[in-house]
Amino acid sequence: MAKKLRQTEYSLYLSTLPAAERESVDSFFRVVDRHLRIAREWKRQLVRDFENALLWYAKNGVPLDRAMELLSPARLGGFYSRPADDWFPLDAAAKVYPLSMSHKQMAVFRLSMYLDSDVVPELLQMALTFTIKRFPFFATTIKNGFFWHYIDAAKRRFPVEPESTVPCADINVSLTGSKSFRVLYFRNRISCEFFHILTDGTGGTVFLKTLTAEYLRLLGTPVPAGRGVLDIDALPDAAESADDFSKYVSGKKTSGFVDKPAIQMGGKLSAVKPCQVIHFDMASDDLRDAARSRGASVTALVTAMMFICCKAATDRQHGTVHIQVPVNMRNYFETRTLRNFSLYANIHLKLEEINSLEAILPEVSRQLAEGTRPGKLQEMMNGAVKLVRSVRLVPLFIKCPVARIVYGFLGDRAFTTTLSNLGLVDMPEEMAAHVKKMDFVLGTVALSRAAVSMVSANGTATISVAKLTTDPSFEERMLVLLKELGLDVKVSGSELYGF
Amino acid sequence: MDFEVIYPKIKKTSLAMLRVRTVFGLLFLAAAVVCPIVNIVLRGKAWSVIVLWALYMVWTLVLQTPLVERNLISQGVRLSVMTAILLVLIDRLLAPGWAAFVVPIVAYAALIVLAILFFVNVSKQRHNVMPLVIVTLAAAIGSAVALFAFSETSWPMIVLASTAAVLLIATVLTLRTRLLSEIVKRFHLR
Repeated sequence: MAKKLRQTEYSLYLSTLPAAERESVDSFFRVVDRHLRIAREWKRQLVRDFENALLWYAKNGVPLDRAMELLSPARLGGFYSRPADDWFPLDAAAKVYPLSMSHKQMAVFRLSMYLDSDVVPELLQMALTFTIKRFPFFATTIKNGFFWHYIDAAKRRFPVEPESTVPCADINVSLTGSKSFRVLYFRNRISCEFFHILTDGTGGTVFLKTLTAEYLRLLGTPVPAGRGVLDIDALPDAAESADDFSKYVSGKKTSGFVDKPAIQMGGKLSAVKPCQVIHFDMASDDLRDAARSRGASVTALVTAMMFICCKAATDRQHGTVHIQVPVNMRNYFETRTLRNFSLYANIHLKLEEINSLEAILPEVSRQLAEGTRPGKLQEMMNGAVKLVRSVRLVPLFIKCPVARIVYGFLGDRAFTTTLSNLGLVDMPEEMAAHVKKMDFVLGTVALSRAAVSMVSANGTATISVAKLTTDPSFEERMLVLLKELGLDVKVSGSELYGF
Repeated sequence: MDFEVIYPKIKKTSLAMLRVRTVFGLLFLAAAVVCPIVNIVLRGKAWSVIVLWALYMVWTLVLQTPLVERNLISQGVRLSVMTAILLVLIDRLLAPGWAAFVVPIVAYAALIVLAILFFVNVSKQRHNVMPLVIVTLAAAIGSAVALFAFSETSWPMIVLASTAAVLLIATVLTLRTRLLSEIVKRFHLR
C-alpha cells in the first residue's frame, strides 16, 4: 500500500514537471537502466530507490538538475552491470565463525554513527547502493565448500532497514544471495551489523565511515576521502580483501588457544540474545586523563574495572576471571586489509586478588603489555594459521560438528567476558561536524553474561555492555566505578528484550 | 539505574521457532530412545531403524534447517537422497523386493524437478548448481554400476541413467567454464 502510494506520488511529481525536465528525467533513467544488469526484482527496486530519492529532493526544494547530479548513475560504476563471478576464501580468523554458528548463536557485531539530524532513509539507501561497489567482499553470500566455507559474490540490491529487532540479531545467511551484514537506521543513528566472517571492528568502521560520508554527500556536504573514508569511485584494492594472517606467518614457534575454564558471572541466561544493551558516554579526554594519572592505558583501566564488575556479578568466592581483549594486528603489522586481522590477549586474575582498582591496575597493565607483545602475537598468529592448515583436508561435514562443540563449550568457557576497544576513530573534519558520537556493540556468546566494547569518536568515549542476563550487578558496578574516577557519565540503552 | 532508552520498541521477539524446536527435540529424543527399546524387547523386524531415519529426516528438513545454503535445489537434493535411503531401508528391513524398481523412479522424478528448478532461472541458480551436479553424477554412476552388476535389467534404472547423463551434459554445456570455477570454489583449500 505504502509502495503504491509512493509510486502515485512519484507519478504526480513527474506530471508537474515541464516537458524539458521530464525529458531529462527520462534520459537520467535510461542511463540508470544501462548500469543495472541484475535480476529483474532487484532492478525494479533499485529504480524505485532512485525515484524515491528524486522525490525526497523535490520535496526539500533541491532543484532537479542538482538532484540528478548528486544521484549520478555513474556512481553505480560497473558493479550492477557485471555478473557475480568473484569469490573469496575466508581469512584464518573468520573460518571458525560459520563452523561454530548454530540456530542460537552467530558472531555479529554492530557499529553505529550518531548524526546531528534524523536519518533520511531514501538517501541512506542510495548511499549504500553507491558505496557497496567499493567493498566487493561485503557484497557476498556465504557458501559451503567441501573443505571450507567461502564467500561468493552476490549482485543484488542491499537494502537499508528501520531498526525492528534486537541489536546484533542473527542474520539469515542461508538463502541464495543472502547478505552477511545489514544497515539499519533509527532517528539520527546509522548502524551497520556485520557477521564476523566479513570483517572485524576496524574494517567495519571504514565501511560505516565511507557509507556515512556518501550519505552526507547526498545531503549536500561533500566529505573528502582519507582518514578512514574510502573514495568510492576508486577501484577496490586487492590488498583490502587480502588474508594477511598467512602473509605474516613466520617462525615455527606457536602458542595454543586452549585455556583453563574461567568462572562465569551469575544470573539466569536469557533466551533473547542480547537481552539488553547499555551505553556509558563520557568525554574521551577525561577518560584518557583518568587512565594516564594512574599510569595506565584506557584499555587497561577499563579492563581493571571490568574485573571488579565481574566480581560484583558473581556469588563465587574462588576461581579465575578471564577477560579476553581483542588486539588489532594492524598496530603491529603493515597492512591495508579490511578483512579480519585481529587476535586477542587473555588477562587473568583470581577472584581473591580482585580488591580495588588501584591494587589490580598494575597487574592488568603488565598482563596486557605481555599479551600484546609482538613476539607473543606472532606466536598466536602462527598457531592460528597452523591450526587452519592442519585441518584443511578434513571435510566440512566433519569439521562443523567438532568446531561447534569445541567453540561452544571449550571456547566460551575459557573466558568470563570480553573487552573490545576500537580506540579513537579518526574522521575528516567535514564529517566530524555532523557526527555526535559512535558506539560499538558486541554480540553475546553462549555463556558470557556481559560483553563489553568501546569506541571514542568526536570527543565522546562510549562503553557498551551487551547483556545476556537481567542481573544488573555488572553495569551498576561499572557506573559506580566510572563516577568514582570523577567522570561525567551519561547512560543510555535499550529496554529489556523478551521480558 | 535510570537511563535514556535510545532503541525502538521491537516487534515481539519471536521465540516460537526456538520453543517448537525444543519441544520437538525432546519428543524426537524420547521416540529415538523408546522405539529401539520396544523393538529389541518385542524382537521381530528392525522397524525402529526406519523410525529413527524418519525422525532424522523431519529434524533436518523441517526443524533444524541448514544455516548455509538453504535453497530449493539443495533442499530438494537432501529430500530426494533421504527419501531414497528411507525406501531402501523399508525394502531391506520390512518388505523386500521392490526398491530396485521404485527407487530409480523416485530418483528420476526428483532429477526432473531439480532440473526444472535449475533451468528455469539459470542466472540465479548457477550459484546453487553443485548439489545438483553431485546428485546427478551419483545417480548416473550408481545406475550404470547397478545395470552392469545385476544380470536383470530394469527399465527404471535405464531411464534414470540416461536422464542423469543428459542432465549432466546439459548442465556442462549451459555453464561451461562457470561450472569449472564453481568446482574450484567448492573444493578450495585456502
